[in-house]
Amino acid sequence: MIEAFISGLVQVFTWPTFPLMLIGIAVGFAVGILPGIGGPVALALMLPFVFSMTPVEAFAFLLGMLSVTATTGDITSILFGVPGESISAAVVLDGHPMAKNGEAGRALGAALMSSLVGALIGAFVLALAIPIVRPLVLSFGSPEFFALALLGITFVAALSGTNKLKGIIMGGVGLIFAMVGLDPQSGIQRYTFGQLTLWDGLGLVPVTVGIFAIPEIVDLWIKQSSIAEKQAGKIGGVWQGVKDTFIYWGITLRCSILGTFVGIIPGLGGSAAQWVAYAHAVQSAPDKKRFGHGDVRGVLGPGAANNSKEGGNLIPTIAFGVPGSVSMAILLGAFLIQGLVPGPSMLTTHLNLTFSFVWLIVVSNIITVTLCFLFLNQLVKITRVRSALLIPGLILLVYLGSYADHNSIFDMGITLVFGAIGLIMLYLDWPRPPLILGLVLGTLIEKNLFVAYGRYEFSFFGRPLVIAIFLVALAVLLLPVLQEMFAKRLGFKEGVLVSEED
Amino acid sequence: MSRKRIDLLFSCLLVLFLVWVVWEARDWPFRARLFPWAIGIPVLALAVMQVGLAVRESMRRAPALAAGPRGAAATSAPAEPAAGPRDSDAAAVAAALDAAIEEQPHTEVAADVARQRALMISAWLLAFFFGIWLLGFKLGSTVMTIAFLRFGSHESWKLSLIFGVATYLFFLLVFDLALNVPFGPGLIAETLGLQSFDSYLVDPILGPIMRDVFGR
Repeated sequence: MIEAFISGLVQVFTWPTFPLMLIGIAVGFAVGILPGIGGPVALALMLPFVFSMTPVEAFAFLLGMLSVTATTGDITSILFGVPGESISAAVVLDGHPMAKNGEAGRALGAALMSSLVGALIGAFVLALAIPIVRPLVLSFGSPEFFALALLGITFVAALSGTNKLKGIIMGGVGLIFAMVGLDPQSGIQRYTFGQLTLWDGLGLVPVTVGIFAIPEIVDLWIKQSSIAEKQAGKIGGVWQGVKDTFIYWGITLRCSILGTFVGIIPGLGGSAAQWVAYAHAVQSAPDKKRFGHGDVRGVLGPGAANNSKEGGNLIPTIAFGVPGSVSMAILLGAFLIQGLVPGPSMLTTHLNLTFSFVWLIVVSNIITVTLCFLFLNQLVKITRVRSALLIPGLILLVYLGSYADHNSIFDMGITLVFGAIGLIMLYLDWPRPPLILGLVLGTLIEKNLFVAYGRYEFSFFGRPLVIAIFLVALAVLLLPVLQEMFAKRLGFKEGVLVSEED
Repeated sequence: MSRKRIDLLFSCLLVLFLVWVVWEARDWPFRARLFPWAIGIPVLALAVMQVGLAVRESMRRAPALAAGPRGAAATSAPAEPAAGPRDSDAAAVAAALDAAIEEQPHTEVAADVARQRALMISAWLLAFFFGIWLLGFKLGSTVMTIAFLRFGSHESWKLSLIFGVATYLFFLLVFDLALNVPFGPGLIAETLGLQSFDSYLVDPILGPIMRDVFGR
């Protein structure tokens, strides 16, 4: 285990893994700073580039990018009051008032340093979780993985924001899309319209970029502006913010741990982590008056939680194949592209790779925060790029992604069709993440169902772990309904914490 | 057509799609049919329920909603503050949220402008698709980037050409040279039995350099 841990670190610094991670970080910088292109969209757009990479190179590139989007998203939240990412929205509450009070540097210093501390704690928990969950995962067979994949599907309700029924329907439609192609059991063509190109099924990349990226491009064009309508001015006082992280070490530490645990629970996602952390920062402060008007503790809490949740998020994804957020659902797609199946093999054969994830989070965050401190004034200039100049590049990335999957123009057409569907869904408030979750998990569910049935027939439903997982799934399905009932009784509105795009 | 009516129409189309999914599987062997029916039939029932809800919603009189892909919600606005009974901590969080919401810049666009822009960018998305299909990735991307920036976004010729050349170089350097993944010449050149149109111009210039530097 220790050998694998060290080997994971060595792998990060090998050629060409390290330069690829740096490229990922550079992309993550831009994505985080520019609103409109979220982490999940960027992940989807970058999937085609990993086809020719080895697993460690691919994840260095993707995790390097994902790890920094939350950190750099805080920069625009503080300077302009516009979150670069949906998961950076809570930092606006106190970060932007601080900037208006002439404390932009202090707020940025606090956000960056707390982000780093949060990321390190998240990575530490991930490393600690691997030996703990390993024996559990290794005791699982196909019936348990079938049950787990079904459990993953039940999280669609949590990923659906306020439209639970629509979310569950879309999760089901995603499962149906996963059936397109040759049936693995009998070789029958299912929903292929006789098209040879559909025999292998609907490609994950064409569907994902269509559903997520095309609506974002349309939205970016409709708004037609750069975010920096105001000038940020010279930024000073950063060091004070760094010191604040350690002066208020209790908040930073507690919010990092909170973020990690919110990340571990599939379905809650990054948005929940920041708001829970913000609420905790307010709740635990003896003097609450300055919150909302520029209190550095209101920056430290969400800043730390935003980054610590990535480590937590990876635990159920790697160990059980249950992606807890949209980003993780897309990252699960990257696992499949690389021919990796989350579960036992990630904790045995590919243990080095799993530990390299821990190091990737650590190294990419250290590099990001260092670069942010060094080039803060220059980074702010990126926000002056007009959306019109970004659009051709984004359109090309969308088509490139869908084409590269099978070198097929047909896949580009699929992307267009799913782009239109995604646009309609966005317009009508139909949640999009459940569709992707269904598409990703559909194949795993059907495969494990038939393996389990072939070996145990229907008696596998009586296995204790299967029953336990089904009970958890039932609880997950019923929980939002019960919460809604209690909330209505107490007079609270729902959907305060969970947003679709986290 | 109002948004609620469109929602109803979309729900009905979804029901029709699911009916087709279930119907299509009727003659398949048991193993091939099991999963489509196990998923399709319950989802169909839920979709019918959604149609019922959408009918009820569309019959309800409601104030007009602002249109646009994001609806009335500002994308950057933080979550709505909780209403109802609050203790002092919840009140402090809610007060902070209220203060921040007041600070949010208004980024909403008028509905008719949003619709017009959405149609325009959709047309450009189609144009890029056909441009790439007909002219191949390298040339099609370059031509469409220049066309979009000059005629869609009304940028200067200079800026449009700079972006166009940068696009071409990106495909050439990253895919042709670094990754060694050449793209097809496009439908027109393929039909005429020609190489990619740009290669006649670029190869005589870059050919010797590629041979000397990259050994290709």
